[in-house]
Amino acid sequence: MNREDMDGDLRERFARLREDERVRAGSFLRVRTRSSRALDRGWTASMRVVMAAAAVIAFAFVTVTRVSDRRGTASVVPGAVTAMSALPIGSWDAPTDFLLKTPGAQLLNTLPSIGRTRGWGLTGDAEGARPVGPDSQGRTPS
Amino acid sequence: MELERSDLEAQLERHHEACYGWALTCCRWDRSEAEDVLNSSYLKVIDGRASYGSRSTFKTWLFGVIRRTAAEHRRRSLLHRLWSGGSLDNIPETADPAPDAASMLRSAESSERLVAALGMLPPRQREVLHLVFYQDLTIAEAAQVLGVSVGTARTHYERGKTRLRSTLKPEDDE
Repeated sequence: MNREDMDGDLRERFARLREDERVRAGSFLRVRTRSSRALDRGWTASMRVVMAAAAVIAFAFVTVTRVSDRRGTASVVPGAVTAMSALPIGSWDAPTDFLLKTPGAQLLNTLPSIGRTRGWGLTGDAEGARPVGPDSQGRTPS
Repeated sequence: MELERSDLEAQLERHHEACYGWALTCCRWDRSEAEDVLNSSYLKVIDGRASYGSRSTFKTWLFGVIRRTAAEHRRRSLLHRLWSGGSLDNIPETADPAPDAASMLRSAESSERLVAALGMLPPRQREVLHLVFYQDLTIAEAAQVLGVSVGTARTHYERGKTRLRSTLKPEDDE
């Protein structure tokens, strides 16, 4: 039994199938000029992808623009307020400023200098000034 | 060897019936899809996107183009279904064809039973059997079309024959 005989049953079946399909095949021209449904479908799918991508990009752009606008406004307004109020603050005194003034602060501001007698119980000018009271031996100046 | 456009069209027309049968096998006997695939393949050949390099016969080269185009269509169809929210279960190329094929086997005529039995085979086995028995190619030529070694093609051929016979036998006994 050769190979041809062994596969004869299958060859016969396939030959019948081939004859059936030959009838159904249609002409070459019809298939050649066929408006491809698959191609149209592919184009439609591609267009959908492109349009979806465009929509996403547009949405992202609008969102980013709005967010940056809001941030920009938030950063500009306090700055403007500070600039406008900078001038009055220079001449403004708080009502509680007196609490910050320590007693005797004027003494610290007026340092005594050598030879100056002002405010130390001495009379006259610095040069030739003498003490008003009795000296250590109980004599008073004349 | 560059073929002129008119020569190409003449060659395509000469092989059209064989190509139609092969496209049917590549598309699991979906006639509409097979015609789409054939149309795309013919356009590829005529436009020069697929060029014949004389390394094989025109017929085996053309069958290779049709097979690749069918795979592209399948991928595109899969993406289309995914994109349109369709379920993958409805895709004939990825779904198990056994239940439909089995139901077809019970009621169909001889040719349809053969088609149903072929549908139960793995793609490579189905393709090799089609190329050898339907297209009368040698196993070496079938291997060229499928882009596999002759040994691999022979393995698919032998396994496919055994499986096809076992599928068809119970029906023949009835």
